[in-house]
Amino acid sequence: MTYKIKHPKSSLRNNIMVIFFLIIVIWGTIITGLFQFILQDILTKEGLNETVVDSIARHFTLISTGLTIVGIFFVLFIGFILSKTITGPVEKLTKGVMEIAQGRLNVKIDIDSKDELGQLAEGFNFMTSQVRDSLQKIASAKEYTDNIVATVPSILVVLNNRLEVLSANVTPEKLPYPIVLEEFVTLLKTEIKTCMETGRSLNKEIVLGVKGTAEAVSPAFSVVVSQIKISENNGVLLTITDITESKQAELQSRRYRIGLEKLDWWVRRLLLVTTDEQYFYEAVAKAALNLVNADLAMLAMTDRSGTHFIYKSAAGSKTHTALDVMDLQSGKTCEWVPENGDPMLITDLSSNSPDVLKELAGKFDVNTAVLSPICPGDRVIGCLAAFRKGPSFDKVDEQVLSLFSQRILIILDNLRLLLTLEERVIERTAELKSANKELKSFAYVVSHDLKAPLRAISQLAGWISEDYSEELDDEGKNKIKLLLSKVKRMYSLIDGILDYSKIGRVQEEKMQVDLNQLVRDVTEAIAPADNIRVTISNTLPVIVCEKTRMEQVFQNLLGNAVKHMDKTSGEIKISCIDDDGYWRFSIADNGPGIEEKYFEKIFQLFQQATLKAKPALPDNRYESTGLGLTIVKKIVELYGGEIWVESEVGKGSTFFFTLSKAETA
Amino acid sequence: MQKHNFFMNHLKQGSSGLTLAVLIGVLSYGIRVLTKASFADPLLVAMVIGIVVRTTGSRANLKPGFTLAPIIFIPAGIVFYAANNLNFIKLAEVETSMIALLMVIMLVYFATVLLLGRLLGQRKQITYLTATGSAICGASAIAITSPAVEAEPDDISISLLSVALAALVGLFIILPFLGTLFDITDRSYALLSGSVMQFTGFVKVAALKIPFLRKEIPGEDLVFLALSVKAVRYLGLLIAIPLFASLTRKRLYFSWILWIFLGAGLLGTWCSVAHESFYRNSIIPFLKPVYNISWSIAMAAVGLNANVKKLLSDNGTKALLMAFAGFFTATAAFFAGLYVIQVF
Repeated sequence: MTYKIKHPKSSLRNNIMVIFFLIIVIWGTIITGLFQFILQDILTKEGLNETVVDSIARHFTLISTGLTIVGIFFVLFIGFILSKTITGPVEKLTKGVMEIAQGRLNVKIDIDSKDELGQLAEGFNFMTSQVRDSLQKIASAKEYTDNIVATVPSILVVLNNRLEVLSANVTPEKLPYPIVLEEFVTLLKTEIKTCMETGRSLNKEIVLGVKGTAEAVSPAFSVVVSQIKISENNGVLLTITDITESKQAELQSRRYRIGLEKLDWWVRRLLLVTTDEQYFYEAVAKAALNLVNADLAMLAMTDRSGTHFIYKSAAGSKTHTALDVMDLQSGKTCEWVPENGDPMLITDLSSNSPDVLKELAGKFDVNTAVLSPICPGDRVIGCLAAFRKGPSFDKVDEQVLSLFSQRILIILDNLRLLLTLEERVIERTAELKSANKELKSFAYVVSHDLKAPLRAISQLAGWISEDYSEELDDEGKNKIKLLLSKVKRMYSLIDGILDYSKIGRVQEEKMQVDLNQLVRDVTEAIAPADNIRVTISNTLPVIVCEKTRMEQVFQNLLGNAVKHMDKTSGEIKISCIDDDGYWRFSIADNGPGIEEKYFEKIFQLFQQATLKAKPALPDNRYESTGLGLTIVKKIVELYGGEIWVESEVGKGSTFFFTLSKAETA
Repeated sequence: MQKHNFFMNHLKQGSSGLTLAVLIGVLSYGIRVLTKASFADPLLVAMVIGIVVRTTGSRANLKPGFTLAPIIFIPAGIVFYAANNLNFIKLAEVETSMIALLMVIMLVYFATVLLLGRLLGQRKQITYLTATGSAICGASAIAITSPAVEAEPDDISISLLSVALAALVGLFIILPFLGTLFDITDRSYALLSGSVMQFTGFVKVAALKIPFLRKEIPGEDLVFLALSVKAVRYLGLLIAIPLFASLTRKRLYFSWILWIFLGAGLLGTWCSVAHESFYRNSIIPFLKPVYNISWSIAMAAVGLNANVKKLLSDNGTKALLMAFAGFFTATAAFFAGLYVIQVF
C-alpha cells in the first residue's frame, strides 16, 4: 500500500499570514475609525477652530491610515519571515514524512538550528535511520521467509477471521489448474469453522471438478487447516498439497493391476484353445476389446509371404460397427501396422495420426487408438489395435495391450507347437496302435502256435514213458520226466504270456465282486498245505471289477506265498484298509522273505527273486514263469493302483497293492 | 408533488433551526435600526452573529432549518430588493461618462477576481460569488447569485467574509488614505465610494461619516450621489447571474433568479412611474425592511451553517487575496478613469 499525497486544504504559512493580517487590519481599522469618528468631535468640543480641527483630522487620517498600510505590509513581512522560520522546517518535516509514507526512506532533514525544530529534525532523522534499519531487517527476514515459503511445494493460503484471503505463496495464474483459491474456502467452510472454534488442525482431501481440463483424473488436493494468529485475531492457514499425480498414479496402478488380472484370465483361456488358429485370433480380438475397454479391436498378422499384413480378426462393442468388423475379417490388407515395432498411443486420431487411421476413425466413429505390434525379436509379424470413442487411451492401456501382445506371441507359438505335436501324436498313436495290434496278434498267434508242438512233445514224451518204461533205464526215465517238466514249464510260460497279452485288450464285463468270497475261493483252489493257515484279518470290500482279473491278482499273490512257504507253521494274512480314495490291500506271510535288491525286479517280466534258502520241497515247487507278479502289477495299474513289497529275509514278506475306488465303484 | 413533500418534510424537521435564523436576522436588522449605523450592514451582522453562535455550539437537529432558510428568504429578498433598487428610470439619470467608468470598474473587478481565481485554482463558486460581491453590491449580490451558481454555505461564508474584510479595510484605511493623500474633492470621494465600495451601507458611511471631507457639498447630497452610482452597479447582476450560472453548468443558463430579479425590477420601475407617490410613500418604506430582514435571516442561516475556520483554509486565503486585489485594481481603475474624465 502506498500513501497518496493529498494537496493540503490549508497551510500553516497561510494561516499565520492571514491571522497576522486580520489582527493588523482589525487593529488599524479600530484605531483609524476611532480617531476618525471620535477625534474630530473631541477637538471640536475642546473649542478648536473648525478649520484647524479638519486639518488635524486630515493629517491624522493620512498618518494613521498610512501607518496602518505600512503596518499591514510590515506585519505581512514579519508574518512571512516568521512563518518561513516556523513553517519552513515544518514543511521540510512534512515533506520528509510524506516521502517516508511513500516508501522513500533515504530522507534526511537538514535544519540548521538548535531549537525544538532542530531537535525534532534530529529525532526525525534518527527515527528514519532506525526505521530504515528495521525495515531492512524486516525485508531480510521477509526475503528469508519468502524463500522458504516459495520452496514449499504446497500452496499456503492465509485467511482472516472473515475468511478473506490475505496472502498466498502462489498467484492464481501460477496454479497448475484453472482454480480459484476462494473455491477452497467455500469447500472447507465446515473444517475452517471447526478449526477456528477448537484450534485443532484438520485434514481433508478435496477433488475439484475443474471445467475445461481433459485430464482423466480431476485435480485432487490434500488440505490441512490450521489455526494461526493474525495480529490479535485468529486466522487460518490452509496448506494445500496437490496430490493429483499420486491419485492418478494410484488409479493407473489399480487399472494396471486389473488389466493384468484380466490379461491372466484371458491368457489362461487362450491357452485352452488348442483346435483352431482362426478361433484363437478371434478370441485375441475379443480379449483386446475387453482388456482396454475398447469399442473396436483388430488383429493383423503377416501373410505367408511375410511381406504384407492382413486382417485376421476384429471385434466391436458397438452394433453399428458389427458389419464393418465382419468386413475387416475378410482378409483385407492392413496398412497401419507400425513397422518399427514400437507401440503407438494416439490420443486424438483426427489430428495426430496417419491418414489410414484417420480414415478408420471416421468410418468407425472412434477418436483414440493404441497399436501394439507383435514382434518376435526385431521382426514385426503382427499388430493388435484397439480403438475407442470417448476418453483417450493412456500409458496403462498401452502397457496392458503391449504385454498382451507378448503373451499372444508365446501362446501362438504354443498353439502352433501343440497343433504340430497333436498331429505327431495322432500319427504316432496310429502307428503304435498298428504295432500293438500286430504285436498282440503276434503274441496270440505265437502262443497258440507254440502250444501245438508242445502239446505234441508232451504227448510223445508221455507215450515214450509209458510205452518204453521197461526198456528205459532210470536215467532215461529221469530225462523223460525232466523233458515233461520243461514242457510243462514251457506251457505255463505260454499261458502266462497269453494272459499278459490279454490284460487290457480283452475285457470282460465288470460286476460286483465280494472279495471275501473271492479270496476264500482262490484259497480253496490253491489248496495250501496243512501247515499253512490263510486268514482274512478284516472284512474285505465289495468292489466292481472284472472278476477273473481280481482272481488272477489274489491267485498269484497267495500262490507265491503258499508256494515259497518254508516254515513248519506258515501264516498268510490278508487285510484291507480304506486309504483316502483307494483300497489298500496287504498279503503278509512269514515265509523266507525277499532281499531288498529284488523289490523292484520281481515285478518285471520274466524276473524272479532267487531264494537263498530253499525249503525241502519237490524241485518243481520252485519252478516259476516269472510272469505272475508282472501280471498282478499290470492288473493293479489297470485299476488305477500300484503294488509294492516290504520284506525281511527270514521273517517273511508283505505285498501291498491299491485299487482306485473310482475305478472300482 | 415530490418537491412539495420535500419542502414540507424540511419545514417540519427544520422548524427549530429556521426559528433561530429568523431571530438572528430580526435582531441584526433591529441593531441597524436602533444604532442607525450605516456600516452595521444587517446582512453582515446577521452572518457574524450566526458564525459566533455556531462557533459556541450548534446542535445537529438545527441544521435542516439552516439549509431551508436561504431557500425561502433569499428569493423573497431578491423580489423586494429588485422592486426597491432596480429602478431603470433612476439609472438613466446618471451621467454617461460615469456609467462608462462604472462599467470599466466592474469589468476590472470581474477580470481581476476571475483571473486570480483561475490562477490560484480557486473553487469556481467562491470565485463567482467573490466577483459579484466585490463588483456589484456585497452581501446582496452574493445572496442573489448563490442559488444560481449552486453555492454551498461554506462558499457563501468565505466569499462574504473576504469581501466584507476587503470592504472594511477599504472603508476605514484605503479610501481615507487615498482621499487624504490625493486631496480629492467630496464629490470625487462620493463617486469613488459608490464605484468601488462593496456594501451599500459602507457607501453611505464613506459618503457621509468621513470626517476629513471638505463639506463643500451637503452630506445627504453626497450620499445620494454615491448611492446613485452604486445603483448602476446593480445592473451588473443582470449580466453576472446568467454569466456565472452558465459557467457553473458549462451551458447557457438563465436562472430563475434572473427572471424574478428582472421582473421585480421592472414592476418597481413601473410603479415608481405610474404611482410615484404611492410607490415612494407606501411601497418603499415597506420593501427595504422586508428584503433586509429576509436576507438577514438567510445570512444568519449561512453563518450558522458556515465554518469560520474555512477562512483560514487555502480557499479562504485565496478569496481574501482575490477580494483585496479586486478592490485595489478597481480603485486604481477609478482614479485612472477619473483622471481621464477630468482631462477630457
